[in-house]
Amino acid sequence: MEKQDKLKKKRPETTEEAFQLAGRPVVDFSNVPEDLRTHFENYYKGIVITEALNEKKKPDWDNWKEKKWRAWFRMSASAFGLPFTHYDDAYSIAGSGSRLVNFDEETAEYSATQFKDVWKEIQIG
Amino acid sequence: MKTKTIQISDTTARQLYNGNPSALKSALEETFGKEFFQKPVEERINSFEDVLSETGRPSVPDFSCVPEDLRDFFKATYKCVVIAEAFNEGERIDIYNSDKYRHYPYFLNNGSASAFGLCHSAYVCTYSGAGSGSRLSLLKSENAKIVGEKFKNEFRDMLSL
Repeated sequence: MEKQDKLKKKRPETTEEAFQLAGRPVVDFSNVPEDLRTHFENYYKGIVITEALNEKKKPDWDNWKEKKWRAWFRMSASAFGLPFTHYDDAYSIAGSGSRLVNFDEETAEYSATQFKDVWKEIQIG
Repeated sequence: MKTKTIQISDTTARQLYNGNPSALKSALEETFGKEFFQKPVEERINSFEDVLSETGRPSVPDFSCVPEDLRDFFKATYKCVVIAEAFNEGERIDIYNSDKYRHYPYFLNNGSASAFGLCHSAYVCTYSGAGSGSRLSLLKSENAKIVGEKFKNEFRDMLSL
């Protein structure tokens, strides 16, 4: 219980907190074509959130035993939301991105629910 | 982006002005050649230069705006987004339409960068994995496989950098 509370305290609750925890700057994507900016801005936010939640630990894709968790969303304009999480070991689907995985299911779920808008904007932006 | 100048005769100009669509078609075929319009996307795109030419996108931004350790990743992601755009021939996928499948190449790491390769293509309809994005999905299953083979290095960089 104490361990869980400690973990909770470290978790960012907002994107601003994620930037602080990860030590990443807020950046301006104006050098990217205008119609692609939202996608790249949110992709960057997603990376920073993931880094903050993973405490900068990077996935080892040569390690089959290390599970890499990602959230999966039900795509509905009125009810975009988390239906389940899923892990990969040696396979990578295009777009899954090694920078967007967590190391346990609970963190992946937290990321998906707490930062739903960011994940949504990556999908539609 | 490659450009060509169309030269038209006085007669064709008058036909075009009067709204004759076949006159425009003939003028385009005379300049670009019939084959240009008949080649399917998987045959006319073989390199990233072809991708830029197809989409009219500028070359890869330097991404100097992001921290240095993320620049190569964003460059690779930009490439993959534009590659998917080219193979979808400008059609943007509606991720809320569960009747429309979105296809992705699927790779097996095989334990080393040199052994990284296309495993198969997979599709999703109602669900989307975090980060997969509509901008990285393909409308056709066969194009997901072609993209995964022709642009393996670009996808490897995006997935591993």
